Amino acid sequence: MSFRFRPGLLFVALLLICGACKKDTKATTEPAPVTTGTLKLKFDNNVDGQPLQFYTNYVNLKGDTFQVTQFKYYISNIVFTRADNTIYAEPNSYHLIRHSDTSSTWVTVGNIPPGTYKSVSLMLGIDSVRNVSGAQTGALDVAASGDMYWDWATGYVFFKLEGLSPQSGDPQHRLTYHLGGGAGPYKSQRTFNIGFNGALASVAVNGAAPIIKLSVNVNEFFKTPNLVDVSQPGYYDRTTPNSPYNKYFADNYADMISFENIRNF
Amino acid sequence: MTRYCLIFCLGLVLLSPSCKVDPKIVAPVSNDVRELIPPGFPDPNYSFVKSNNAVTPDRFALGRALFYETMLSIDNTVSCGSCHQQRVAFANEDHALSHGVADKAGLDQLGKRNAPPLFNLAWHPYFMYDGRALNMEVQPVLPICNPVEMGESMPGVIAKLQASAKYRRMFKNAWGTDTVTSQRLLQALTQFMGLIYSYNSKFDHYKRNENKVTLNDSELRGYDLFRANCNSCHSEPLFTDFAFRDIGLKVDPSLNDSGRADYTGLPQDLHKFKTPSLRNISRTYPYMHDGRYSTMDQCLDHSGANPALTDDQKKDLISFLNTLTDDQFALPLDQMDARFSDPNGH
Repeated sequence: MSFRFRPGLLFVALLLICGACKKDTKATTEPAPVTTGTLKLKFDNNVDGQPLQFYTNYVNLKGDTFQVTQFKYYISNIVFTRADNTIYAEPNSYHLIRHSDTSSTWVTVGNIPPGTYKSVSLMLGIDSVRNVSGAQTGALDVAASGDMYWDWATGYVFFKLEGLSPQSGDPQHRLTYHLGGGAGPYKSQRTFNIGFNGALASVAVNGAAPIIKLSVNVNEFFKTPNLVDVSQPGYYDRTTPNSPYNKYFADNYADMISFENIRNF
Repeated sequence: MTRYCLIFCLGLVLLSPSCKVDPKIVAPVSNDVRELIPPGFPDPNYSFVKSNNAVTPDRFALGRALFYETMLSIDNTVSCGSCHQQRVAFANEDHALSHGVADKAGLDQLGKRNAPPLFNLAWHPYFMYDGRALNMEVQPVLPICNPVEMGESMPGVIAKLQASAKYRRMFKNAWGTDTVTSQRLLQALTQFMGLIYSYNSKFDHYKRNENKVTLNDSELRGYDLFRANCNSCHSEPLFTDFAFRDIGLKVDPSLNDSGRADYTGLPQDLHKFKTPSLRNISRTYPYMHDGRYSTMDQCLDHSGANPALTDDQKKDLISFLNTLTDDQFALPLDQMDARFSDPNGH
């Protein structure tokens, strides 16, 4: 099979190809302009203002000494309110805070409309609908959330506090609190409406994210409205959802999270 | 020379019994397995489409493989199919209490309850006798993680599946990626479990005027008795209203099963158990949450809330209950619906 090389044709073909490829220079795709910013929440786990450290002695209101060896909780349904009372609700807002993993104590919320924010509301626990939804991913992945899923019932452990106390009624002096249960009279979610006491978080497009520090005071777990006596059965070991004790402890942690400060940049 | 070798070898192969291929249940790719609502049934509680779990042949095939996969247990001996056997409507044949993986001494552990049958699951608002599983997709987590059932963990199961070339291939076929996640394996299992339907019993054919099926006199009297005495709890067409009830069964002190109260912590839930469906009841003995009754007669003798029945009435009622056996579960073993059978041919 013979083929005669025709340079002329090739030249024309090249021209046509180049012509076809030549785009309107004005129409190069540009990224859409950014119109939102970012906020960071820092969950500052502490005991009456002292930074929480595992295997360190603290004293609760009753006067019992305790140490913490594990501390995890779910934070969900984060909603920020602006000075003009408009809100921004984080979509798919589910975060697992683990004290042993410092990076998890920082929650970065992106896509926030610019402006000044005066308060945040959030839930400790998982809302009842999502708590009984099907197989999930991310912070709600039953395999990744590890021991924050009941695994003998469906649903999540909302709050897990483990430790030791010489006054604990447990033979090995353990303190074991696994609290959850999403519906019914003993449900364990608690919502926090946290105002910034007059301070404002300033969100600017492409600006550095302001850091809103929230205090999570472990000692609140042992008091107000209920003074916990860890020597008594039911009060040093709680590992079932939906029991009256769950409400007892959830009512205590209902005032565990409060505003600490804001750092704007 | 080589030609004769070949003939010799072929002869060996053909004549040797060890070379015989075992008959294997070869399941067709289940293109005909689909989500459906049987005639006369209400809308299901679980929708595959709304749950972002659309049924596909590959996902169903994966779910089926997982259902019969012993790797889901800590010692690789127990699968879902071990206690949920197809031939008895996916209940536990002949066992009062179901048993799981062996303990440290090597003895199979017993649970407190009798594994219930599995069919029409999309209509259940909750699962387990005490309703502690609130979504079909996550229910398997409970037996997988129960130390007396399968004794595994979700990360453990995921690691085993990820390490298996067969499962990586099946996940790739099902989702386009061979990364095993809890969501995918649970959704696949849901497709298998959720597509076991039971709506073709003799009674259903009679009710729908199909195939000229009629009920005989005893069965018809039994149906009258059923509607007068049983239908308020075991309501048609699902033959249960799913409510939790204490029917006055004596507490077995060796088990001390508090029923739903264990889960809700509410005193009014003490000794209440989920009302089971009576479909396929002829296949799913022994009966009650702990399998204490071997015969339907014993169940009828118990039922404290009901007026006492004469022996003839009991016979009629049982004839009627026997008409609730689905065609698929009335078949001989080797003719069971291949689409739902063990792909490993057990």
